[in-house]
Amino acid sequence: MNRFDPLMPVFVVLELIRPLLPVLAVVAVVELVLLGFALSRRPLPLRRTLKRAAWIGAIAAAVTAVTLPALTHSHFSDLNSVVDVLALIVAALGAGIVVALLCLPPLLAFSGGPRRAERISSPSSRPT
Amino acid sequence: MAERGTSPFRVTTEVSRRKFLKLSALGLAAAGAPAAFRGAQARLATTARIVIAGAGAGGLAMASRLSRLLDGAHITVIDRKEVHDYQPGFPLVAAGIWNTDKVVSRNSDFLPASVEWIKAMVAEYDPEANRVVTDGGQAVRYDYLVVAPGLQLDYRRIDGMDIGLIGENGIASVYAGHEAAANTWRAMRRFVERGGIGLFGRPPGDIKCAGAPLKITMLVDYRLREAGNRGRARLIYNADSQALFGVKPVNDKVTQLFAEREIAVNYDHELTTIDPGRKEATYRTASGPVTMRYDFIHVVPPMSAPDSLKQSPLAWQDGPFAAQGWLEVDQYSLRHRRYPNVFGVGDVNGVPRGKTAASVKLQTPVATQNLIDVIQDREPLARYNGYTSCPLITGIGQAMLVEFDYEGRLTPSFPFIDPLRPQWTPWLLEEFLLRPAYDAMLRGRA
Repeated sequence: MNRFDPLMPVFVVLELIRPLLPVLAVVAVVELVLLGFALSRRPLPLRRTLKRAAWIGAIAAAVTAVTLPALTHSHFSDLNSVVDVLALIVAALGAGIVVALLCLPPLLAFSGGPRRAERISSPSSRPT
Repeated sequence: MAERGTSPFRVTTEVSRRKFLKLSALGLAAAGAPAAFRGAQARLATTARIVIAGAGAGGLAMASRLSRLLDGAHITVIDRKEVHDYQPGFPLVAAGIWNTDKVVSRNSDFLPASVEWIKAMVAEYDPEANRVVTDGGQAVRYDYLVVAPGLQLDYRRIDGMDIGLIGENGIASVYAGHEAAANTWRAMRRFVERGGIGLFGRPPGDIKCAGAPLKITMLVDYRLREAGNRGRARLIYNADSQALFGVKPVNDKVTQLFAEREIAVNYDHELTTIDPGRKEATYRTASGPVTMRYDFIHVVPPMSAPDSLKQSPLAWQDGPFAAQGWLEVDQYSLRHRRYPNVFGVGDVNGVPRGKTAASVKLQTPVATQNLIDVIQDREPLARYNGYTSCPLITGIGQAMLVEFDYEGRLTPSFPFIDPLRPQWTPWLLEEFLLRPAYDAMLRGRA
């Protein structure tokens, strides 16, 4: 019998976040509302917002990398192989990506419109 | 160099709403695909009456899988216990790393709504009449039976030992439930503060999670070093046989780790008596009884099938599994060797290896598939290879992810993780992912 079910990680992650599902549901609703609000404006200042979200994600990744060993009751000295270091990097990157994605709707909603230069460059904003 | 206003990248940064929504919809569809795929699996229409004896890891996982794959079956689970212990977490509780709330949940959280739950214990198996009788006197008939009651901790076979003693007089035992694990931490903490003689070991015969006695030994060693008190303690591991672990490469590695940590090892020692007042433990050895004084002792009880099964025709009648009364199943198909409508899952199975939650994870899909095949009058062809796993904790922050099969061959799921090297990555799995994986298994999803 095959030991590894390719869908298993999805269900494991679901169990991992299950205790947080009520909170996550509220967050999802807020994010959707903000996303809707952002989409109602045009044009979307996506490039600038992505940059900001990436910065926030990078900070989250760095914080995760620094704190994860302690969060697992261990020390940096316990990471004694390449696999351990890679695992820490992957976990930190994952956390960074999640945080960046979560930040995107509020940043889109609350950032101002595109900078003047972006507006000028956009064909849709040019006078016809 | 492209001019600012004509850069193609700049133009695409202002994404249209339609495009953005399309991308979002694609993402949502991808996220929902697994559920859709699972939902699309065909369900077998049947009116079979299936009784599952036991609501431990094996019983719950079987109930979840069968209720999802069968349409119209009457599935009954029999077990009085309402609290569900995540037993693989007990060593972490015993070492003061986790609180008990991380290992306790409720069976009702995992039992599918369509499954009938009889809150009693099976007192009698009557496979000739296709029925079981509960300790409340209720007879429950079945067409198919899944035996998954777990095993019995025989503390009574150690003279002077009682579960109520755990946590007092230096007595520890990680096996007897989440409270015993918490009480073990109480005893361990006192020992770590004061030092003295620490005794460890395991009984002969099959036990569940055979790595736990080794883990506890190494966790005590870690806590002593952390407190700066290792020099005030003497740790002795009294093995039941000529080895510390049943798989040679793992045994060699653990022997090496024990030597490095100055943990003394005695072989062929079986704990027979404990005197909590005098803090003495007596062992049966080839050269007669040996009594040792202790300040801390981790007691691992002998284990066997529950009495109700042991005394039933379903137990092995002879051979190596008969003495402990394990269920007589074929080690590959998990089908009973004499009663073809009976299957076994989990600790109760009389098979060469496999008394861990990881074994249950691999056994349940096999038993489920074979049971469904038998319902359809087909030959049951799914095979369990004896896979089991033990995240062998070597200290707080490091573990070895040891996986092997019936033949004792190492079968790592992640080829890039060396199973014989203490590392942080297996510890990370232990801390964060194994519990969710276990819960997914109980829901029949892993």
